[in-house]
Amino acid sequence: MKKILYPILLFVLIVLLAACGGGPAGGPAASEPETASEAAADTGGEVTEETAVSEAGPQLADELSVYNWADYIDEELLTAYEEEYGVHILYDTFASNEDLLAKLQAGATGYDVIVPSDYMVSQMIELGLLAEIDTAQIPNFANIGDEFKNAPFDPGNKHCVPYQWGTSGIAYHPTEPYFVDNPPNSWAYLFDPALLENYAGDGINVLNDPRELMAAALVYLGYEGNSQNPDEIAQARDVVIKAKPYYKTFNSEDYDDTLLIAGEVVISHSWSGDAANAYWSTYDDATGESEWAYTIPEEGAVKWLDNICITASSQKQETAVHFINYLLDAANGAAITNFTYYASPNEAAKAYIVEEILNDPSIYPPEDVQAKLYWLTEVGDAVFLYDEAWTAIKGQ
Amino acid sequence: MTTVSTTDAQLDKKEILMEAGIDPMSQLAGYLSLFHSTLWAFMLFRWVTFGSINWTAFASELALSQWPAIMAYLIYGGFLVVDLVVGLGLLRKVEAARKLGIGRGIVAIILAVAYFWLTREFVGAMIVVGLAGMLLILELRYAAWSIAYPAGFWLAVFFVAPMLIVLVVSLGERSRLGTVSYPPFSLGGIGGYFDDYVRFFSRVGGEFIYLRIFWRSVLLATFNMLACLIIAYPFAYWIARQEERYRNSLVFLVMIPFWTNFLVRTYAWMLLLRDSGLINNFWTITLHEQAVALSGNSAFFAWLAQITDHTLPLLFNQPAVMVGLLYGYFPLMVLPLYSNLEKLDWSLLEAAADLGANAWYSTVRILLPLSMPGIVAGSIIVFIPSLGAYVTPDLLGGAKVALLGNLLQQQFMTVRDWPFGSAIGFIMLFIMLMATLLYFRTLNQSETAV
Repeated sequence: MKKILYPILLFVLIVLLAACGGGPAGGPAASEPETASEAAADTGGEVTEETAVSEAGPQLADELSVYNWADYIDEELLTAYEEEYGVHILYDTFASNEDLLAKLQAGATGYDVIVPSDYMVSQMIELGLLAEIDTAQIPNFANIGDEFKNAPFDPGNKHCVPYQWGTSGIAYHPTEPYFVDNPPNSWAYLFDPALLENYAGDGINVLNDPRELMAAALVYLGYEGNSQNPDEIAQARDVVIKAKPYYKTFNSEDYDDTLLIAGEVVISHSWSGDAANAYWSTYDDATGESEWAYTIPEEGAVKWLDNICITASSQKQETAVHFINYLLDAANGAAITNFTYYASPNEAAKAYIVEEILNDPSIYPPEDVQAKLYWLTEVGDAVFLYDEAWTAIKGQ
Repeated sequence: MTTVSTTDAQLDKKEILMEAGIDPMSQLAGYLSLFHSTLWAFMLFRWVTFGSINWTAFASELALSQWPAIMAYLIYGGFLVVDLVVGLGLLRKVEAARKLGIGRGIVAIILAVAYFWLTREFVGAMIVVGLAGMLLILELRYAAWSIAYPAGFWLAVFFVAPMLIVLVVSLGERSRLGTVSYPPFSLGGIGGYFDDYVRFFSRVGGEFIYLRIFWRSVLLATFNMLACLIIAYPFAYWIARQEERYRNSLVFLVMIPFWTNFLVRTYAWMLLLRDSGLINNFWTITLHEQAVALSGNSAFFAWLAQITDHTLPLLFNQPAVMVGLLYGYFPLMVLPLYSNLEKLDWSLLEAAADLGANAWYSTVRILLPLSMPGIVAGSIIVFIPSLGAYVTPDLLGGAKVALLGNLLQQQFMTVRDWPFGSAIGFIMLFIMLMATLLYFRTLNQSETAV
């Protein structure tokens, strides 16, 4: 037994001696850089060019974890950032705002930068899940168009900066026999059984998203898309239930690839970027035509804005701010739009965005169409009505 | 004589061992204590060398670093010394060491609970509590408990505690922002805690929307269970009647699909069944072209050309969901049936035949009753996951129709009504508990019948 005892005692002695020598400086905190305030002061005073920011040399962390929508960034931008600044990016994706919130609420820590949509931003602010951002520290914030600053869900951009925006309309096959003479220009083409039966056999998809589909049905009935009126919500529910037998799928995740481009459906409730993906994927260079078209119904449609925010639990706010500034750079903002086909709120980026996207009315709608777009906003306690309506629709 | 002398020698040896008084529990506790002290030494070493070695900090260390620096040294160093003393003392049979060890175990558990209360760091606290509990039981010499302890601890931490959390959450209600809140307590309003359970069984907008989903799920799961049973029984029977050297390979083949992720296999079904998939391509292109070419010859080919004109609606409907479920859970039915049939005494069937029973009679009176435990086990193993299935209806059913699994997922992820989701979870748990109880009942009956 003594043979074991002495080495152990020796080891303990060494460790204790080392502890005395090292003083109370042990533990992980000692190795973390504590220059946050210093570096923040540096960047705040710099000129707006990106190179200047990197020269100022804020203390960047080794890693930054970014949680974004699937297929929502040109991943080469991430690689370029890693190479330029030596920050390893842990990239992860989610499928819906609710998924994102559920994860954060369940206590997931370790995400630094997240990309929630408009109505979710206001909820997250109320729940205290977002850190405050000082836009003065983000020189490239000046690139953002004025109409996207100071949005109602985040007054004064205290928590978030705009990332990408788009609309929710209808994607359809222009060559479908029924659509040749009657191009779908109204939500009736997704909700009116008399119209639906003309092309239901060829496939109809709607977004598997309670707020989006209910908003479309509400607007079709002539109500407000954010209605909190129980009667109106019940009517919208019945409209969807009556139309449901004609639907082939409820899909909002991979419908552009698996349903639209694959030719499984001929009309779909669709987000603008996914419709643009279908348009360009089926585009024929020889004829200059595509199998898919996108329209914003005349009754009006949802417009949405996704935002870059920092989680309140993030330990790497400074690096996160630096990364956000990188994403808001004009050339980088354009690279994102050229990849995702969603419109960029970045005014300065327009110089770098390819012509065919800038001139595409389904991505950058003309003025008269823009006037008919509205935000999805928080509905308060009516969220329960939406939930019950959705369960009733799915339970049929 | 030689035999006697060897037994004598053995006896001597035994007596010497008895005199040495080897107490396996103290010994185990001693070694465990020494193992503990090396753990503490390792943690202390990490703590001291954080400046020079680039360790990845544990959550517990991040939590500890929030406290005064002296705390870490006190905790690590103190436990290191105490565990060393206790371990060596126990191995040398010092009675005081046992008492010190008991005291140390109690202090460690109290400290770990306090530590969790202050820092909310679960893993570190659980490791300390788990090991301290083991030590305590060994030092208190509860022999039976010490054997049951690892399994018991596992059950408590990973089964009982989560179930309790779900139960507590199910009694709350969703606030406007999706957090869980509890109504103020009053004896009269105690029913308010259970309104999520009531909601599941009540009308919403004039219809029982939740019960409807519930019944549909139960029907589908029952149908899937029966379909699996009808196909899997002859299959398992066939394997069990093969020569012994082939049986294992055949069972192995049944398990091969498990090597691929279920999601991937479901997507494979989508590729097969969709409008532009393999089956429809064959139907609308290969078959159609042949039929058109031959349609002048006979009425049959003209008819065939006509029906192969359209794609078959194979995907995004109820039959596709059933096919997906049947495919997914079929092996789960084969395995318990096979393990039951394999052990069956086939001579009983021969005896029945000798006594004049025909094939039908001996199957119904001998084979089925004897294989009942396998049938019930397989049915439960298939029924329970079918009831909670949500990937299959989403992907193969086009997310058009919700089942219980989808309802549950929707409550947690989309609506964030955790209390209602937990209540649904508990209702499902209750049903599954009933199914399991039924299983044991049947098992007992069939055993007493034999």
